[in-house]
Amino acid sequence: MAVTRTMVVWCPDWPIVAGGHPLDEPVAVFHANRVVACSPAARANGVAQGLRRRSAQARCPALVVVERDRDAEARRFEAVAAALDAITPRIEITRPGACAFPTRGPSRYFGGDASLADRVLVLVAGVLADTGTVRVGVADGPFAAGLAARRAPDGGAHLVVAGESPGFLAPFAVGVLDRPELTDVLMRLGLGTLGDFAALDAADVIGRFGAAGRAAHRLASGLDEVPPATTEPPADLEVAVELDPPIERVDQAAFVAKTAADDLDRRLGERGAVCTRVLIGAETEHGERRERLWRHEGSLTAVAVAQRVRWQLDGWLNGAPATRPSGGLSRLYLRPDEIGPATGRQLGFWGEQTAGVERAAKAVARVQGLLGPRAVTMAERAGGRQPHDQLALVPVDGAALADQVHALDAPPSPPWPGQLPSPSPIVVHHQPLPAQVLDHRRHPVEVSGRGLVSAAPCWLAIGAEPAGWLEISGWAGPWPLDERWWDVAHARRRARFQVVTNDGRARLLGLERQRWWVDAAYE
Amino acid sequence: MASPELSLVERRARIDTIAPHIVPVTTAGQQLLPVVPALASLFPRAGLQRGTVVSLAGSGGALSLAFAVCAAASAEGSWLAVVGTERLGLAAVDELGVHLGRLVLVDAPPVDQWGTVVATLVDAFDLVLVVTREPIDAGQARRLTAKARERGSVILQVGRWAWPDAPDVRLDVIECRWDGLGEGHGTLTSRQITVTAVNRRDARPRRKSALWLPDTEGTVSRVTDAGAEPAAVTLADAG
Repeated sequence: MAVTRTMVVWCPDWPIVAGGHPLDEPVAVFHANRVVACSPAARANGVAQGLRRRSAQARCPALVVVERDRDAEARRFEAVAAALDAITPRIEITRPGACAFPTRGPSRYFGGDASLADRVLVLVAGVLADTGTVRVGVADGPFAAGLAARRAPDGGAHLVVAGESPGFLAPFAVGVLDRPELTDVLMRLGLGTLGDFAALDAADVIGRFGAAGRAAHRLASGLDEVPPATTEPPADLEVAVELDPPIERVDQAAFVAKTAADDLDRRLGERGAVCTRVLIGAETEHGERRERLWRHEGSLTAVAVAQRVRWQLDGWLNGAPATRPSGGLSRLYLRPDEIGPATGRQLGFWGEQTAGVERAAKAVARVQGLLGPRAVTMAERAGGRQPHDQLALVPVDGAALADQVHALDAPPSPPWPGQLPSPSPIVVHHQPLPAQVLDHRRHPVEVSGRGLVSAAPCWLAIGAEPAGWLEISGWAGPWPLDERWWDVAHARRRARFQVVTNDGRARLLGLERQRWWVDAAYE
Repeated sequence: MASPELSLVERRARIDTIAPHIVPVTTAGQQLLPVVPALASLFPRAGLQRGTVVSLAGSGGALSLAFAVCAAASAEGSWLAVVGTERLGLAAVDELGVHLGRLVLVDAPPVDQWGTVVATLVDAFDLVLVVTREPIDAGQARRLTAKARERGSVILQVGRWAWPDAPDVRLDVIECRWDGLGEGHGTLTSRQITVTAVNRRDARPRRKSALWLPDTEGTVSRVTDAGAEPAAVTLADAG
């Protein structure tokens, strides 16, 4: 069976475009303190994917730092996919920012690949309206088409003549396979390009690298990753959820998505199958129907399916008014569109405790369904001198829970001068509590501009209406903190004190503009 | 069947040969989550027994103690969920030895959802730390206890005891003293706390332990008579 001729539509730097940032300004999108995408202007300044925030800011001081918002990326991309619905109903979204469809039908209808590509470019450019660019690639198979799209100029197309995909792929470095463990071995074997790898005998590759190696070898040879299935997936694999009452908000949808995805995963697991492409569909209470295909290189796990369902529902419910369903969603269904045999997943091979991560991810998704996505957070290493600066809290992304575990395995950043020595306070008030500090003559304690205390602090009262006075039995300070003096709006001068009161507790106090605050407590 | 001619000694010997083959698959040791050696004496079996509820309260240091109790298990791969501490100092939690990559924080849920949220967490996490300010509904508390027993999780409740039934282990910090600060000099270096431990299934009266939390090295250790007092204290006294 011949490889499906495919067109890939790729919007470069999609996380930047989806965030509504202009591409000619230096912007970088971060996740877990690493650059995941950057604008061309930032790239010109040396910012690259995988850099830490501090290194990126060091290379480009004017860099605008944005946190990643995958929901928005998926939501905005739905508009692009919806525009292409006019050309073909077989659009499959690979990830927010890239989609693919088989060109056979549409290409004949519109008079060849070249005129089809022109049409697609016009349609997508109309949706993006100068906020971003689009590139199109046509080749045999989605993998080659994806690389062709990368070769295309901004706003243009790169067409690979039918049957010449293996030759087109040959000069690419093996790194484009996106399988770091495999590529590492191939490089050491002296196989630097896809052509070298494809020249190996398929049987030898399977013998040495197993199923994962075979899939990579097929890609490098210009074939589909898995041999296309000749039979349709059985209908009883479809999972449908009736939604009563109909849902209108995406936070309600998230929980349903999780349940349906788990159910699908279980059914596929019973058959020893994995799903590489899934159709997400929804019906509204007014009888409308929306469907969209999502593809994944490799196989879609339950968490990945749930995430895509959530994105898709978000795209429909919060999309452009023209495409938004007129009523709440009353039925949700997931149909595996393309399944293959499960070649086995090696769990916990690289030392992570996968079972624990998966259980935690499920519970997190459920709690986020109840309380909203921002209610569940995890720590992320940052830098700073104040107690609450050193470790930031970021909302948990269930699918990326394992990555977050690894991000924190990284060694802590070098010390910040002026950071408090350990032990650190375990209660940190993000809104410091007002306080009063008096000396032994019951006069307020002050700190002069040169950092001298007017008198030894003796009494402490906490709160706007203090319940009583605590006697200070030990104190140290002031430790001046002069932060961001170069920036008038964010500059702060604060004198910090550690005090122990006679109830045995220790606190961190701050004095700023003659007012005392309790910054933190050592409970 | 043992024949009547066998003597008691012979029967014993037979039992001894069979015994290793019929021990239960799950031994008590596997139902324990580890704790750091300094805290082992607070728990009847020198570790956190899965499926139990631990209460921590006291005049200062209860929250630190709770994380110190979780630290060893967290470092060995257990996940820890914390409910209801918006003002947590993560640096301190890190210093106490908790693996931050396996720590998930959940904002305090509204009262009507509290039970559902905590039950979901107990289902999936080995350790669930809850900070409560209101008493907990009796039925809800029993459901949570039952769920913890079924899933083998440990619930740690920090703050005034809010459950209708007595906890399995109850730790109270009755004394707390910081060292290292003088009159205008020094920094906080170490803290000495006295903890009483009461175990529900243990007939012995409460046990008292004195601990450094943390000591001058930043770790948890037991206060021994031979243990050197932190240098900063001597300095402070002299000043």
